[in-house]
Amino acid sequence: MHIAEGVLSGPVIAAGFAVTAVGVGIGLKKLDFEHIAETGILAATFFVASLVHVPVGPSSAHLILNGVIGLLLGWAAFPAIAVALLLQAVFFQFGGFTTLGVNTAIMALPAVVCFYLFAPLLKKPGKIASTAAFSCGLLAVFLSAVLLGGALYFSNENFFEVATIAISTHIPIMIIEGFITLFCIGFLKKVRPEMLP
Amino acid sequence: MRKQFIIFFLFFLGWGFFCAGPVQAHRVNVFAWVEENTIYTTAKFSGGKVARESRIEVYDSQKQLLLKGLTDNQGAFSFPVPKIDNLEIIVEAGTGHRGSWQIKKSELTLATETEKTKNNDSPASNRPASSLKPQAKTVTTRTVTAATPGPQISSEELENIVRKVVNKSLNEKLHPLLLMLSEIRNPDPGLKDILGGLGYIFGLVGIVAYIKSRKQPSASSQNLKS
Repeated sequence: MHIAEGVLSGPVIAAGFAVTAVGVGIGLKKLDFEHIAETGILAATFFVASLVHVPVGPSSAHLILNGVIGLLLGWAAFPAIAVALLLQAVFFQFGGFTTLGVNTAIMALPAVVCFYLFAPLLKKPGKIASTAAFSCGLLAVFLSAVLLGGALYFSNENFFEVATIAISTHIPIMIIEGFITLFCIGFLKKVRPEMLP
Repeated sequence: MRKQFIIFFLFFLGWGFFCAGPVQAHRVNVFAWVEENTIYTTAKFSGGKVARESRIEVYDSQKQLLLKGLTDNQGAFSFPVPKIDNLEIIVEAGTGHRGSWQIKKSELTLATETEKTKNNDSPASNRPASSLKPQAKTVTTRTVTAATPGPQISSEELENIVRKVVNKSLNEKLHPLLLMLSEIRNPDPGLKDILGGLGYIFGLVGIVAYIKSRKQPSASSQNLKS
């Protein structure tokens, strides 16, 4: 899910940074004192989760966890993911500095979208909440794959098939993340319900 | 409650550490080296999984595309030296994965020079059989009578022959070594990197908390006053 240096065209890089700047701005403004520690912990989780890989075909896909991060943080997912991606670029050479904006937008935008779609459903009882949590994990990765395809498509027309490849290689990840989100939300509901939106 | 949350978080962290070793990373590396007149490239995702059927493109110092090709099932691709220049080899493994490797001009000139000496040498070995025969004879006689000098092989020819043999065996020996080097040059994220990154994140949390706490009417100071 990390786009490397030198793949994207100038306008796409600029658009990525613009979206990320706005997202991080809103995220930091909405971030209140009580949620700073939570944001940091989830940023750390995202940072480490990218090392958990599932080999798929010629490529390999890794956990993203943007669904659960979005669900718990809302707009604060933007600064959390941006910081984690920056550190991944520095320490792991995943992605790159010029592509930081695009990569953040690819992973954080679906997180925010999923927050608005699924957060209200979590308060509903039983199966509805569980289904919402599962769908949140699944949809966030799906949307990221679509955005990845879009970013590459606008950079190079040869990349049109990329969206399909990105989605198909991420199908196992989507299912795994659906279960992880389901498990996380179920766990937090029992132990720390005040953490849920 | 809080304890359980921390245990959950630590479990996740531990999982990350556990999986950091043998898995594939989301980064593709390409490594290239010159042997005689051929450039060999190998493309791998860091962690060791080879990048199959990935596009390889070779550019010169003017960013002109010289040639392109696909890696095989072992992630390897080789081609004859297209140009004596600073070359950039780029691998694109799809969905935004890209890596590059530079080959310096000096590396290529060195390799092609040894190739030239070989070419100079080859007419010598293709000499008519008659001129070779006496050499063979002298060699055999030399074994019998060590005192007889063998004037037919000039020192230059001998040097070329030795160089050729040494080059060949060196190449054979160096090949696996170069492959090993490619893995060392592109290390996987290790414990140090993970802990370093986590340290930065927690440091940033502290900074943000500090800034936000200064902006807010301090709850603790109000408590102290009351």
